Amino acid sequence: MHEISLAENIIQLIECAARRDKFSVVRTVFIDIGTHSCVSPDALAFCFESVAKGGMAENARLEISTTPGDEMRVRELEVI
Amino acid sequence: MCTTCGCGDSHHEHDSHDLSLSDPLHPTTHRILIEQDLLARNNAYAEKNRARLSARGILALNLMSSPGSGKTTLLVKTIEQLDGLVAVIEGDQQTSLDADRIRATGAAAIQINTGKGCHLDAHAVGHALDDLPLVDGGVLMIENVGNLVCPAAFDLGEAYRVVILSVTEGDDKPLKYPDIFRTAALVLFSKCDLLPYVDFNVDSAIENARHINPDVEVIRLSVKTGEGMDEWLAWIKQRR
Repeated sequence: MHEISLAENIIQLIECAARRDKFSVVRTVFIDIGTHSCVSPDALAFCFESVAKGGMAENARLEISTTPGDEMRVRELEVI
Repeated sequence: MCTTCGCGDSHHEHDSHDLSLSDPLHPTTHRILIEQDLLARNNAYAEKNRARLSARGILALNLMSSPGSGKTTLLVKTIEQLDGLVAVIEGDQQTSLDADRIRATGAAAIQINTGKGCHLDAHAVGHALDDLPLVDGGVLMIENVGNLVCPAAFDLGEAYRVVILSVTEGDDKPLKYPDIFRTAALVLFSKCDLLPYVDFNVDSAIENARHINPDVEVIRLSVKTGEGMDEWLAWIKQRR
């Protein structure tokens, strides 16, 4: 379940961006996951829900696009 | 309910919808571009480790396998042959049993307990490097948590990845767990002394590994009989 570590990384990227761009709520997280990456999108979404609890991304929707290759990248955030 | 926007207020005029922060029912959302790799932080630590190790001419190997493939036994034998050159970082969820076995040989070893974690990461390895006495021009063996899945995603700053597959596990493992085999420089088939007793076909295993990773090198190994040990030691020597 390395998806837990990856979900924690997403939260860190969000917190970093929030300090820079001054937002307080995240509605949607847009993520690209390569078919050759070692990530299961379902497991990532499940882990993200757990680690996001109590923070600004609680209840945020994870929108995962499948891409060719091995990337795993946070592309964009929809924030308030 | 308002059928245009889904809010509970059916009295408002849609022309007067003010989608601004001042209207708590309809706060403005906007998009922020992030474009960052999920492993960016780990990879930054890994590059730092790699630079630190290469500045001292230390060859770092990331050893990955299932639990019970014989990694620690192989390490103990390797340390005996490369006397005084090897330091070890041991990754396990719990206990310092493996580090204790390594230290019994006289080599320096640090145990990282990952707790619930299923893999080592570059940050933890960086901290271990702070405390581990390393020999310039020596070899750092990083024994990852026994797991054929998760360690694959995390660069630790190693020069090479070595996957150990014991012949009691099944020759189809490279196809079933391709991620870990894809980035390996070398696959060691361990416990080859047991080949007469198991259905493991080494040729199929090699074919499967090369189907995933055409350039991967392979060595048949048995710590018990000594088969392949010279080849393994020569492989290390060539890269130091």
